[in-house]
Amino acid sequence: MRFSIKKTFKPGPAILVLLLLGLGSLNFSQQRVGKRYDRPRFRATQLHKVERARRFSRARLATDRILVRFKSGLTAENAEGILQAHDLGKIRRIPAIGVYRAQTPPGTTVREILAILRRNPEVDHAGPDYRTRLCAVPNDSYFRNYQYNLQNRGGILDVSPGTQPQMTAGADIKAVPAWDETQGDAETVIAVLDTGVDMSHVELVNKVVSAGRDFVNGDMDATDDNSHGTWVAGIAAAETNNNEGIAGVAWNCKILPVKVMDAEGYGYYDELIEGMIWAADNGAKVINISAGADSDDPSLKAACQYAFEKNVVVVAAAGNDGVSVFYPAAYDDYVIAVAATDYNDEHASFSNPGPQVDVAAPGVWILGPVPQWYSGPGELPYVFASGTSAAAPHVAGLAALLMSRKPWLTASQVMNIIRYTADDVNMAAHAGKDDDLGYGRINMERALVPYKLMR
Amino acid sequence: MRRGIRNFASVPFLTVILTLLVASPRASAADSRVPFRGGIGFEYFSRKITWDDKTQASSASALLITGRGEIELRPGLTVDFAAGLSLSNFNGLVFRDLPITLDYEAGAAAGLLLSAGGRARLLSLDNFEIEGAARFVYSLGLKKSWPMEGFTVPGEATGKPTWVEVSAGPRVSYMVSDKFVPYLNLSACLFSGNFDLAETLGDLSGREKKHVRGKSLLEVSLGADYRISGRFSISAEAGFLPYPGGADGAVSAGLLFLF
Repeated sequence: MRFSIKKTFKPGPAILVLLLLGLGSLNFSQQRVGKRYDRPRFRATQLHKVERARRFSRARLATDRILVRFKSGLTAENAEGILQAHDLGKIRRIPAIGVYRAQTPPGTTVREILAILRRNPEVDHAGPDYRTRLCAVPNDSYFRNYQYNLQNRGGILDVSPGTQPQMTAGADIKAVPAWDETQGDAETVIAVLDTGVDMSHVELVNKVVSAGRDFVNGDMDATDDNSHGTWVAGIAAAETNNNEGIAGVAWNCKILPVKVMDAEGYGYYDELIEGMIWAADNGAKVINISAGADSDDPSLKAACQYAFEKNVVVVAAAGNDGVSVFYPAAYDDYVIAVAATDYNDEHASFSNPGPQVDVAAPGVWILGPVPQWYSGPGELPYVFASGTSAAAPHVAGLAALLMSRKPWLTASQVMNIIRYTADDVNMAAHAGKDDDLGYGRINMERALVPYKLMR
Repeated sequence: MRRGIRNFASVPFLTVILTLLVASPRASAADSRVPFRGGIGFEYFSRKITWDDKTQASSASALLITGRGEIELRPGLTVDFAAGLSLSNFNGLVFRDLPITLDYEAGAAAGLLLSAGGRARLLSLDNFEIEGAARFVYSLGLKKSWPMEGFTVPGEATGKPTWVEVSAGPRVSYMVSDKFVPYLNLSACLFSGNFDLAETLGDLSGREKKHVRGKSLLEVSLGADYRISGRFSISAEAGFLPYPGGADGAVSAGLLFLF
């Protein structure tokens, strides 16, 4: 979808951000011969490569504290005497279980002092003081500082030296509290109808259910030859809590790659139609379409209806040319149309408005995976990019989590839950449902975490 | 599910009444006077409950305010009944089958209460008396609505809790005097209920009926009846209901007037 292109560089171990390529808006200036549909043409989304992104590897244990438990029968006085004999300070006893926390003396390491203590016959156990963390906060390297879309703490989003927007804390989809309720299950499959998926990417290698289907080249290998599909799939359901890369919205859900657009980011309605039907027939519970065009077509609508009636939630991007909502997103009865917000919960200027817009999700400077060949040698296979293409997979991920948690829900119910639990973030300007953001920016917490019925 | 509760409740209840009638050793058809005592009663209990096939647990409590009656059908055989209001609190129940999961934290919900029971003397030994006692309590919740706020469309939840409790077991009384009779109750106790909750949010709607069971199956209680005057008497009782890992409690008090 349409974007201007910037190119920036941050030297050293910091982030190199390059502006590259993406998918753009669709138009119909080209037509195929014979029984052809208007050809959707995609213009590049801004994709910023991340090179050697900072790793925020926190220590797993305290570097100056240990925990010691002595054998039963030893008095507290004697136990503390042993600790003091090794110059351990700030001794604090946890009486209920007879454990002592003590600070290591300056100049010694935790490992050294533990080795000494473990040789003492009075010591039952001596170990490090391990660091704890909240259960559902993923440990993926870039989650904390780059994925504002999932949890926005405010501050600066360091996209590149020239692109460092100030963010508003809380302008996110409330993913973390929702992950305490569910992280999805492997039975719930999100079909990504796009340019394919890089199935060897570390974020996706264990997430794809099969090599998928390629309707462009007519085979059963939906390998990505563009990068857009990999980026979209990663936003929806990247490998999460694996100590590297990014977190996906639907941690444990799977991806079904369906290639309906070529290496240039172009496709035809026939491929999209076939892809939708194939995905619906092959186990997809959710279909994400970060693409579209501005022509209504009864066959495309019929394909959406087919998927809907097979209880598949179809999520589609509203489009990025700022005019009207693309098809198939505009098929209101069968598709949930997604607009884009930014790091301040504001409507992204490129996001297409229209009465068919159902909800919005972050779509500006979203970090996602791309194939290694795309990012280039020596660079990490991730990019920042923008577009409703990025907003849609957030919603697809939420739909997958809902289908995982409540598999008895119908597609219509899932779509309504997503609509009715959104945050009306532009309430001041347009209270209620509006053409820019629909019902508002999705709120995963409200959709998934039990609502407390109070007096 | 309501049908289930009725079945669950009515069969043991009828069994108890019939047993009491048959078991009374002093039953005499010649007795013409039927002493009747009426009054008021208060009761509070808490119960650890399990739900979702015993995979989930929370606590329920209820405050009961009743008008009570007791009829001594014949010496050694007393039946009692009560009717009134119940305030039942099922905080902590989570309804995950609804489109929007609801965590009930709305506190007590009112209901209508009906209770019946009886005691039959089984054995007298010096100052001790052993009776068989049984009781059936049924609370029919009144429908109540709660708003669901913070969504993009208006919504509300409507629900009512309904529960029954059946208990039966021996009661050992010690006749300290004509006025004061302490006793010890040991009862098998079954608590079962349903919380029926419906939600409407825009054109989304759903309904879930949650079946709950009391975790404890045994109640041990100590109580006493004290006759204040020739016609007035008061009673008080406190009990606990052990279950693996804890215990529930129950207290009750009553004031009765002999007609």
